[in-house]
Amino acid sequence: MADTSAIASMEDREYRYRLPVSSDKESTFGDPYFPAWWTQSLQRIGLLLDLEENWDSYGARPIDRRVAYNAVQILQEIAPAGLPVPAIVPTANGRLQFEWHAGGIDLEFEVLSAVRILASYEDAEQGVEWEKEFDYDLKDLGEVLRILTHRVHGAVQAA
Amino acid sequence: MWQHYGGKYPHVQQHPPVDPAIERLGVRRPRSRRPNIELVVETPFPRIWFLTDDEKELLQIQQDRFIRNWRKLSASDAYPRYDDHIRRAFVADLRDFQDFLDTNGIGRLTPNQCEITYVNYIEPANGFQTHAHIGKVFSIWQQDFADDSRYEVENATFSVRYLIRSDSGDFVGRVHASVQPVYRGTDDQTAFQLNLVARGKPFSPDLDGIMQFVDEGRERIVRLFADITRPEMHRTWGRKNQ
Amino acid sequence: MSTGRSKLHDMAFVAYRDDETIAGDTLLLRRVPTNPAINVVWDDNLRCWRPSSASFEDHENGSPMSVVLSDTLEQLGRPMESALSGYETGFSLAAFPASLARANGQGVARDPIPEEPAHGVVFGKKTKAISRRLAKGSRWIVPPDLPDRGI
Repeated sequence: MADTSAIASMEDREYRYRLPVSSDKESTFGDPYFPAWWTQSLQRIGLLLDLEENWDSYGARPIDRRVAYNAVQILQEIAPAGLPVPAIVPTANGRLQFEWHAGGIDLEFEVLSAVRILASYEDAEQGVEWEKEFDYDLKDLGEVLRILTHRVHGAVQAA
Repeated sequence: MWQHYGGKYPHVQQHPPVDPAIERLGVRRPRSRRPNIELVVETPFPRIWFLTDDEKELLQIQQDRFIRNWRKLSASDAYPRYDDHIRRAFVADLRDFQDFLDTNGIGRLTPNQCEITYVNYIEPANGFQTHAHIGKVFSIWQQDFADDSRYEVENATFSVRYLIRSDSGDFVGRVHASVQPVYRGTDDQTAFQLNLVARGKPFSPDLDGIMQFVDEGRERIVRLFADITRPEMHRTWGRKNQ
Repeated sequence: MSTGRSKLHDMAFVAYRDDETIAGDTLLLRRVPTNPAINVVWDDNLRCWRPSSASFEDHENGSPMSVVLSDTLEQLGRPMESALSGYETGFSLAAFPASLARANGQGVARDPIPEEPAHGVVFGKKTKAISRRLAKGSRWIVPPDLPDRGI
């Protein structure tokens, strides 16, 4: 594989992200560890980074770029193969929140810093609900991402 | 900052920043095995090197990292000892850096990760002549495989990661060991480069907590170096040190 | 009865008390940026677009969540859509009943301000789960223009 740079233009700004692209394009996007939705998600994050002060009309802050970077790195590290596309939303305090609402599960996690993640999980099927802050040990967060992935893919296969 | 460091570190260089490296548990794909995604929106803060006059010691400072290095620039250079010099100098420079931040109202250093790295060049000795002799140097390389005449080994690399846990079993960080065959730049000498990195969270978010981890990391590195290299090499190094 | 203290933007501390004159079926209106779709998520469990929980949080400076009270709008002869006044472009309007806020440990108080006489606050500690319940329990007064993803 050779590294190459791809430039995404969004109005008058350029957000450069460097992705490994193989000569066989299909194998890149067929790679379960690098799903095609990452490209779309990065463009979404680029859009959110452009938000100005008071973007929500209630005094919200612009998104902290370093926190956004940490959020991307953390999700890359713990995402299981086949993870469904997350919804990515900004919070009023200038951070990013990843959300999934499918398969009877509500999972949200907000990256507060490189070593603080606030997560909320509800599984209506199993009657499980928790909210906790993670620092360096992300095993439980990774586990619920796997549960979500299996639940959603199981539903897709059954449909 | 240049005015602050100019006396002790008269030489300054600018380099691109290095990405943060945080040891986390539950990671499915370490940085080395995932796509390198960078978000570059504006000119990033650089990493500034402040070097001593002989350029053997340096500080590296960027927006989110403080590093102190000791470099061997010639074969005759001897590394300063950890207890006598390295630790003391690091603590002094870190305190000085925090004072600089306080004096200039920049902010408070809140450490979330610490790291100590040893880079070793293992030169030929005790039957180790070429990179094919990796089994004569490292104990975790299966010597029988290396000696199997069906396989003409040219060279090999490997890396291993070990978890660091607290006394109560909580995750603290990792020790990374990596070996690769190299030819030393100064004289093209065959060697193995053994990198040992201990990285993890400070035991508390202050200088004491930082040094607790650094001391612990250094002890683990020293022990691992002894365990990962063969006793025959130790005897050779012991003879050289006499 | 819920009470709370919060810090206003002008650095004065204010004590809030839940106002029982605000009936449980009073709708609490909240602006949600939806064009572009910033704080809207597709909830496949509910099969609908709804506000994210991130739209129902307090501000980090301690200010409680701002809302517009439907009962005050009614008294003033204003339609609910008037809560979007000045924000007609790029925003939708979501509403949830005061009873839902109280059922999640929140207090509701009137807090008229010069810019909005019908202004109120929802105060109390908001976990993500509580913010999400408010979001899931809300309905659109002015819905976003987004394609239906239901099959």
